[in-house]
Amino acid sequence: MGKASAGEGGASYRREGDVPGILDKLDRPIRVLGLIVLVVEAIIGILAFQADGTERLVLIVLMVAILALVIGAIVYLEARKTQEAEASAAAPAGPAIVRDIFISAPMAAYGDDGEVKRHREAILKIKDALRQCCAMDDAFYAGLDISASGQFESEDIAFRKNWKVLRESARFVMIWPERLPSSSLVEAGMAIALGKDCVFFVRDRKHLPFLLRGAPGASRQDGLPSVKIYEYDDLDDIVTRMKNDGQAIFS
Amino acid sequence: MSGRSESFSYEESRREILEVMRRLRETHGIARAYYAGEAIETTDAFSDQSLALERDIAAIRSCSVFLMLYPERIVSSALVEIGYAMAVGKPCIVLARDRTDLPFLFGEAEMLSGRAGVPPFAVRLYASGDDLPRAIDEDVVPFYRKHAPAS
Repeated sequence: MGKASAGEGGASYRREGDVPGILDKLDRPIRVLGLIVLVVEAIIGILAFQADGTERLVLIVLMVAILALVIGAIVYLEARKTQEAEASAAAPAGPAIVRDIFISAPMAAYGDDGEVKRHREAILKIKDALRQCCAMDDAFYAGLDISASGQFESEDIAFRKNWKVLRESARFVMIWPERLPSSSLVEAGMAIALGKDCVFFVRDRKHLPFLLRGAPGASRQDGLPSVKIYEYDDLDDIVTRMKNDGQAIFS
Repeated sequence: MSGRSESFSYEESRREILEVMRRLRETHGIARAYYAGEAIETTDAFSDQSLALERDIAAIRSCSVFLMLYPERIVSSALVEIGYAMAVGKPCIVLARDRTDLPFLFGEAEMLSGRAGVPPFAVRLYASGDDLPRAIDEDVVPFYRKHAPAS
């Protein structure tokens, strides 16, 4: 997104007919190919104009053959694109979106049960804020399923449920208090792949893995969803932001 | 890739992965192996983050099998990448030195491997860099042969 707008801005002071202006337009292989074909056709045309008899005939046939080849290639590529679009339209639809948001926050990566419980309570406040300030009544947080004794569900049941709920959720939010190699990062990758609009709340964006730091700049390109990163000092800051900005934090 | 700890440098990790790539290509004929750091010798040469994400995602989408090397418990883009790979249905194999280094979710995914919408998923252990060739030969290549679509 950022790169594209910089490119457009850079081109604006150039006149259409200038060489730099023309070069700016050659931003796709098909356009470069088009220019090459035009130049080659022009050269052959000039040579044909200067030639006589059989040579002229050969050059004219060559011009026509190159044009036919290019047109054939374009028709083939367009047909293939249409076939792919039809195949993708015929693909089975994903699960219906029945939940507003999936909340992901490190749990198992914490060493101490007390720490897990404190973090869980803070996330529950955020869940409430999502309901009250962002009109997201149906928010899922896997931490709710931890029993009073702090035990996790059996692994396969937890994963099966989280995987289903993530697919059924419209959005994904990750609360990332510190550098932890947690399942939340894996879930973030899944959410991006599933096209969920994502918000990452982090203490310091430098704590995020390299690829996630680049996600806001890449979002909306190549089918990537919208990704936003907000920094916070204290978990209460997240609640305050939700109170102030409501659903706008996601758009 | 960029999340290496002080004890396990990027250069050291890259050397191990390049050795894995060489073995996959030369010993097993798996020529089309992609590693984002193949041409990046040091962390100073890292490209634009957004561009890196787009490139990695395209590579994941076009691959047959996803292999993750996880030599230690570390915050790494590889964790995000494997999540992406799982969500788009790629068979995944993880090579780790210690199973307890891995996020909780990996154990769950392994239990459900090939069921309930989870792609084939396996975790295998290796002892050290010197043990990687064995892990490639005995674990990764059979997994690849089993799950990569015949080309």
